[in-house]
Amino acid sequence: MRTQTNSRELDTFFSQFKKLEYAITIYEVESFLKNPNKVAPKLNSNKMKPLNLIIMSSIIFVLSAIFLSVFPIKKTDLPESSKKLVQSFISDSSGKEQVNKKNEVLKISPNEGFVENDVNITRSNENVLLEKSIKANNNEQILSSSNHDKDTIIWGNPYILKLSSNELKKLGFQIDETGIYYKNYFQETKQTFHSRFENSFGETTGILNFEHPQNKKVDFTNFDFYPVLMSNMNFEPRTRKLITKEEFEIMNDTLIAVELNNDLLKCDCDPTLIWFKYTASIFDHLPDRYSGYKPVFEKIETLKNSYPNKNIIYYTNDNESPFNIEFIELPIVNLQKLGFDFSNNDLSFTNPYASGSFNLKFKEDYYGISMEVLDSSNQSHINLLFLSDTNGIQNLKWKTMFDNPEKYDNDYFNSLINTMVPVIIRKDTFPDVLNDDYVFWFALTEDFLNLLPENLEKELRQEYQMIKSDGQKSNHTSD
Amino acid sequence: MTPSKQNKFLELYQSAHKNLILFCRAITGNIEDAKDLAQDTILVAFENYEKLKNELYFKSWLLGIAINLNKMRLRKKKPLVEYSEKDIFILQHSNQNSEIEIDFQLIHKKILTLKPKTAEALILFHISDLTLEEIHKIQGGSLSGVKLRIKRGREKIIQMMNESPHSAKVISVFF
Repeated sequence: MRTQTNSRELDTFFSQFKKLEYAITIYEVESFLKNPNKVAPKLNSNKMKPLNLIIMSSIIFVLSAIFLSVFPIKKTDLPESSKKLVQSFISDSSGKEQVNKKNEVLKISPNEGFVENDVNITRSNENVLLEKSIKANNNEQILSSSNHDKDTIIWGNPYILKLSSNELKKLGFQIDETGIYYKNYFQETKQTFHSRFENSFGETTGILNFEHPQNKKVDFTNFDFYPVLMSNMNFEPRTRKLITKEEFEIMNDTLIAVELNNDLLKCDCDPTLIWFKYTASIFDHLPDRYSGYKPVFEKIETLKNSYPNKNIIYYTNDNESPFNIEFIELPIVNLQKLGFDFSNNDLSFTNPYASGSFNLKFKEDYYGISMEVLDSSNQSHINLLFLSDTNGIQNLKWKTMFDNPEKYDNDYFNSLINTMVPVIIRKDTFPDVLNDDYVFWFALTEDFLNLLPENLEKELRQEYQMIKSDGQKSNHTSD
Repeated sequence: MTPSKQNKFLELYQSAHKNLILFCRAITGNIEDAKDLAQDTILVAFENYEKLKNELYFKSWLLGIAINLNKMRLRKKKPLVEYSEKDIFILQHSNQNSEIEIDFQLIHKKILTLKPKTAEALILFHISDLTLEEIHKIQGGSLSGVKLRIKRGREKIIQMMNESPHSAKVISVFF
């Protein structure tokens, strides 16, 4: 009976759905096809006309030349994490404890208000752990105490190489209008790796392995590095693999990945990673901006030689946060001060400072949000920014006209993750209302701190000061 | 592209407009992403239209582009089911079957949790009104495979609806 009802509901859904407002009308389509630049500039954003490209390249080149002549660069530019990592390798400050307070995990029991510190691994203190691993005699102990799955301590995603077509050619790739190819002949062990990426139907995806169609006698390269594997961007091995997925898991820290993106592939193919066997000489063929990666991989190699079964470097899918964050559990009295209410057989959060209304409500069979924010004056008070599950997945999102336009993007959420306070409310605490554990992500503000238990406030205030001073520094730098 | 070919494209496109727009809205879950996906699809189709060998297959070809672009989009962003107040009003007030109170968003979310090919087949058939043959052209495989995919997709949704006592309704969201 219930099944029949559900079947009717499903059919009703399908028929009713067709009555929804169209995202684009036929007139809008006609209009932007006739004048695409005017009506749909976004559609042309990836298409750069040759003249524009030349003009923009020239301007960038001139500006870069002026900038470099005024501020000569001694070291190559690296991501911030890489700089820290490299510095940690070459630094002499072995005895100093550099664990950032920002990475200390704070817990508080709902009942006792008890605070404890538990240092955990996050992106910005992994360099400290690696430094300790290198310098300590007992690497095994440090590796095994890192609390990471598979004993890994370096997040590898920032070390994926992104090269232009000319830079790929220096690495041994052959690129022409028919596709991208690679051939290597090293010490009489032929490592051929022919891959053709094509787009024959406008939307063809997929990667095929072919000989070069026009130039079969093209010279082999003779580098001591060569590709051993192709994978997708989720690090799942693809065709032409010389090692298995299981081997890849343990070997990937002896490999170095090169990304082939859609611009290079010139098709709607899936972006691809080509994994090269790492050797020191590969850096002789890479652009200078990656020279700082060399000592990182050298140290990884050193650790790997000592502990061949440890997986030093780890990679994560885009949708998986590399951060190992623990959440704060607050006593009910403090939750109430923040604006939570548990009185009517439901759980609701009302922003006490909002000039309009902001109400997030959980009841037995639904949860939802009702809001009407009239101005942005609440931004400096209690600001609930996101709601997620414990994996960081947001099933309910909201955005006001005062919020960042990119608020729905996961990248934006990730960029704020170190500056927010994740307050968890568990299903076990409210079994009649919640069907899952929920994490409420608050902005770290003065007013928020004032409503916390004393011990937690002290700890978080230090972090708050650091974030504030970081913000001021970056503002100052950008000025 | 010459004006005559542009007009020819528009002429062909008009017959597929409704199919495409409904597909984009259903597969993305919200109107903003649907708009982006539809615009990108139309532009890619417009730029590659001359490569199309048989105009009879325009609709399948166009929806095929939308499916591929959506796959690329999903790598960056998960589908977000989001109905505006206006949507909810339209759905509730045009519902002839008024004795049934339906949580449209919940059903929509469940469709998008199916395997991508199954969800695509279900949406193409029930919402975009494509024929089984047209879906077969887009998805490949066998015609019976497409039928089976739609049948199993329906069954899976109904099963999920039986199993899930909790629903997640957005009461109202103002932007």
